[in-house]
Amino acid sequence: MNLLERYMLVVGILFMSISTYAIEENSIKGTVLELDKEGNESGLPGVNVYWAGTTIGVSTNSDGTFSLKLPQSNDYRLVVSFVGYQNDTIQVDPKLKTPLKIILSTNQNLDEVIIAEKALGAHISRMNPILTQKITTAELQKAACCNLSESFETNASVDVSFSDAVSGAKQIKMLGLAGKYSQLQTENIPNLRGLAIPYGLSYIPGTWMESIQVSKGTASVKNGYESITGQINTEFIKPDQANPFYFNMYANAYGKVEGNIYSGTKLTDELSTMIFVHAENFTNEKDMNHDGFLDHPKMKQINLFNRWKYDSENIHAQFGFKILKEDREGGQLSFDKDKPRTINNGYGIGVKTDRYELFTKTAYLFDKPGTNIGFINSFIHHNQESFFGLNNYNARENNYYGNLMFQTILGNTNHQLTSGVSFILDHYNEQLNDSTFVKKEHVPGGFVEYTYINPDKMSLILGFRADFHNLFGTMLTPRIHFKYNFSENTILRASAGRGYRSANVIAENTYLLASSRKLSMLEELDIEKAWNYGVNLTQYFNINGKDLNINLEYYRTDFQNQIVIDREQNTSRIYVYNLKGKSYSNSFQIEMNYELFKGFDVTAAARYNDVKTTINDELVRKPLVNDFKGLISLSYATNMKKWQFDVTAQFNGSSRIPDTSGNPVAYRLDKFSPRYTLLNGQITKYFRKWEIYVGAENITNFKQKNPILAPNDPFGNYFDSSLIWGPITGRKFYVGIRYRIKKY
Amino acid sequence: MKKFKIIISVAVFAIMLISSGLYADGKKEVKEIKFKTSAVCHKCEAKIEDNMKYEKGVKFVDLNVDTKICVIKYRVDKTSPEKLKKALEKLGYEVSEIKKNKEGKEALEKFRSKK
Repeated sequence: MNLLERYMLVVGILFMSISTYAIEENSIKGTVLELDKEGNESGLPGVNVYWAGTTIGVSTNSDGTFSLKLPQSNDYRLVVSFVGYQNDTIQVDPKLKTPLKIILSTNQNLDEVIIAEKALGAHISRMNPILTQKITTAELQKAACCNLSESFETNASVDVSFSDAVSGAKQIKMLGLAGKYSQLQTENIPNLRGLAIPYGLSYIPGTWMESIQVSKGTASVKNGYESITGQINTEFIKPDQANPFYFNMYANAYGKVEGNIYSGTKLTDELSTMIFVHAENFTNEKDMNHDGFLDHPKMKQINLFNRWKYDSENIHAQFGFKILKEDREGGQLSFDKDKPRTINNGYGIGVKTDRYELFTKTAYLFDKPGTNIGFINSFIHHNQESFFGLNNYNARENNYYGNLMFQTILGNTNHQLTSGVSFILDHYNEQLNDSTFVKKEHVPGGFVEYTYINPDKMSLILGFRADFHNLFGTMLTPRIHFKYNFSENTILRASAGRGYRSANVIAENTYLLASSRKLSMLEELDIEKAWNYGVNLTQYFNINGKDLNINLEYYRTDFQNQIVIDREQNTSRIYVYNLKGKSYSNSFQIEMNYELFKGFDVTAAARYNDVKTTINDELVRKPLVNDFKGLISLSYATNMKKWQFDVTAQFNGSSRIPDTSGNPVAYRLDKFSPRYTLLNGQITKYFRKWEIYVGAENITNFKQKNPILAPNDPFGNYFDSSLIWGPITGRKFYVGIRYRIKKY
Repeated sequence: MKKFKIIISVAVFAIMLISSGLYADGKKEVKEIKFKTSAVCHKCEAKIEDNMKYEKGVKFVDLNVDTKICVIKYRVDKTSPEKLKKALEKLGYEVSEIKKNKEGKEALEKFRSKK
């Protein structure tokens, strides 16, 4: 609508005498000037100058001068924006002691002004050397999104499935490998490890999250040696940016009700605090497939989180604590929890969890740009009391994680160096029926990481860490990331690196307890070790003024050691042993995003997985892993986003079902699962302060037939609820509201 | 068969909703108005845009923080410049209507001459 002259930015850096400006160590100064028709310079007042991606900025004074503090991040892109002109971005060298001189010169071409640029709900950063997909709140609100496990419905890279037919636990997969091989973090602190692996995804309510970053392949060495297939980091809403009040209620046709409240407040300019409350209750007993078992256990959860944030010029500090209580009760409808648990009672399942988390994060920023010291501490206490039929499993974990990091620049900000020392302590005490297992792990370690960034061409991250495990000895972790821009629109990324993981067999596979098979560990288990290599190409095309973004990728994971869960050798046992032979995963994926017309976004993706492992001396397809996944996600928002419509279709390929040929004929399963399609949809209506959403999951009502083997004889020899390849619950309608008092 | 019926009815419902919206957009006269405001920051921009879009008859809102000019497109039969001005004032800003200022260029000229 506004026809305006298009101005071009010409950036000149003039070496003025330093005496004219008092130079502050950690700020830059400069002048924004305009050349008139006669070529005379004059200062331009009221020009906005700010750091890209931040809100740190100033307007120029009446003579066009400005002074701006250096940003805390190492992103020194300065954005200059002025009346109706297109914003432009300059790379600034923070080491430079001379004032900047920015000249706006007229170009007589006429052009429209870009008013607002819309960021897609999920997008890939062009700047980050590590391919990272950011899932924003906008994306999270496209689906019911009760907790972290349900946040990946519209994401092609992360698969979510039920781990068994009785506990309601969900697990994720990346690159066709179990979620335990990806590192889960909350605000860059490793979390949901150890005993939290089976149910941990339900410990993070969807409404608490500000964003999720998903990166595939090897990760930075900063956060430890654990990530093998990738990293999923969740950021919670920050107290200094939070709305003063937010409220959400959700209910579905299966009888689940949940409520969320949070409230943030700034106590002073520097200190802010925030409280989060989540409660859910799922009391309906539903058995839609008539196998005598609840499709989903009855569940109760209370989850509280209080966090504090302090920001001053040089010190940034945060701390917070979380309390979680969760109770799951499932199994046969005939189970009576007040009667003794014998074969005369029904088959019952109960999992009671108490979890306490405390974290602190402190950073001190030195006056030298890009230089800081950071210290992260996290304490977790986790207690689980559970039973699966006649099996009793109680476990306790105490965990400490500490990471002290120093970051600086070498010469200029193109060269960054981070080094640090870390310590992990894990004490486990597990009781399975009559046996007690005690495990104490102490892992001191250190790392160095060098980053080279040339914003226009390439970047390189070289990382190396050494950790000294009290049980498994020295672990060396080299990792490399490389990014090369063939052009602004063609970006190649490659990565390679090693990762380690210490397995907790019973805790991670509690779903195997919901089976009549006996767990047998055949030998002393070693640490899991794997190399991961990845390459991906991101291409942006500009079609009708919109970015079409195509991402092609290939990742390979090669295990040097893996804990093999063998349910094929013997129908009455599950053998656990170290890998003898090969185990690998190849994953190819293509993904495309495009805004077809105003307000209408399309995401399409396809992935092929080739995951094989050596079980019983034979290289076979890893059981219960899809060979194919396709996804189409359509999202339409009406003018000014008053209505929003979202539909997602997932196409799932077939997976190999563990060999059941040794069972009596009635308890044998097919060798492969069928292909199936899932369809989810949601409609959201926005009001000034309210939002109402209604939706349905699994609209086609596809369910895995007979998810439980021998459900009529749970105490017999063939009962098994762990052979799950598809959804157990059918079509599910839900409705929810959100209410917020906004802060501006 | 039942599930197909449900899918089809949902789809039909959605199409009807969208098309009725488009139809209504095309039918009634939409005018553009510009206000000079006292909004000075990006937070004000969010506040004005978030709130004004829920005023009756408003089809488009944009505040340019640099020029402090707020552009609103509205349905003539549903609201009036006076109502829009009141709504802006209610949000806590001083506003004055800019008349006959169709091109941002003029605002720029004005801005320059002031300087």
